[in-house]
Amino acid sequence: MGVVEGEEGLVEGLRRGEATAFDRAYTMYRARLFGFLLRLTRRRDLAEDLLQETWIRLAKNARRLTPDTQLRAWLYTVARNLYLSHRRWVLVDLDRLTALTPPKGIAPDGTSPFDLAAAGETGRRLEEALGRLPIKYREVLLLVGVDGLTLAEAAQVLSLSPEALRQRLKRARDMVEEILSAAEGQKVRSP
Amino acid sequence: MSTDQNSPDPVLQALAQLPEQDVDPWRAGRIRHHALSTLAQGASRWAGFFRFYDRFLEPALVASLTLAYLTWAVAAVNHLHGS
Repeated sequence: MGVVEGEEGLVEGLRRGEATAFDRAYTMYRARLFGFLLRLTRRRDLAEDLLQETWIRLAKNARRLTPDTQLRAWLYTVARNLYLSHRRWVLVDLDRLTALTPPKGIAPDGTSPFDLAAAGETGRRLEEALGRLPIKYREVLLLVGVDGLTLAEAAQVLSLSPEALRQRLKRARDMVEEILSAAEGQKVRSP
Repeated sequence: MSTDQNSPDPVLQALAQLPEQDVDPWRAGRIRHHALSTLAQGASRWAGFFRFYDRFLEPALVASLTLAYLTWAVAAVNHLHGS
């Protein structure tokens, strides 16, 4: 796995504890990590807390990074592990709770109807479909589809073999298509 | 479907087009400030000493002082009863 574009020298700077290197990493990955966490958790407050903890972990561990650390994969791994740890502590299965919410409630951040319309019908349906997927399928689509991680990086984040990742990605993608087709069918039937 | 990222897949392409989400600027600033403070603490000349103090020295000091106090207290009680 090569160095991600724009990451050159970043890990070295972080290993030296340079604030400028941290700022570069923060600028590069803050929004992407937040989007990943938001779509994973479906809760803005939780996503913000997990985002903060992810960056604190980086700050605490910056000097212990190895020179060959893949920073993007490292950050996504930490963010995902924090979310999984959080899930172990909650009594309510957020997946089931989310599945029970009406489609318009899937907008994770209290987005206004205007925003939804602006985001486009396709995007809204995709967000809904993502929200209905079990976590293990949602996360693989978020990593590869939305955030553009390579298959090797995503396999590293999810602790999967490349082949297992391909299979899970294919299954997840098929599930999204099924959900979208079903929604389309319902729309055609309803007046 | 192909999971090869070089060949276009409509679902993956559509996912890549989803709008970017970001944390609000005020919270983003707080997170950055907090993380940079943590980074700076690690860069301090005394960081290694403080880590050692937190993990080993302070617990050892508390345990030794507690033990010394208990030993003294027991000895004092024995002394009072003995006299």
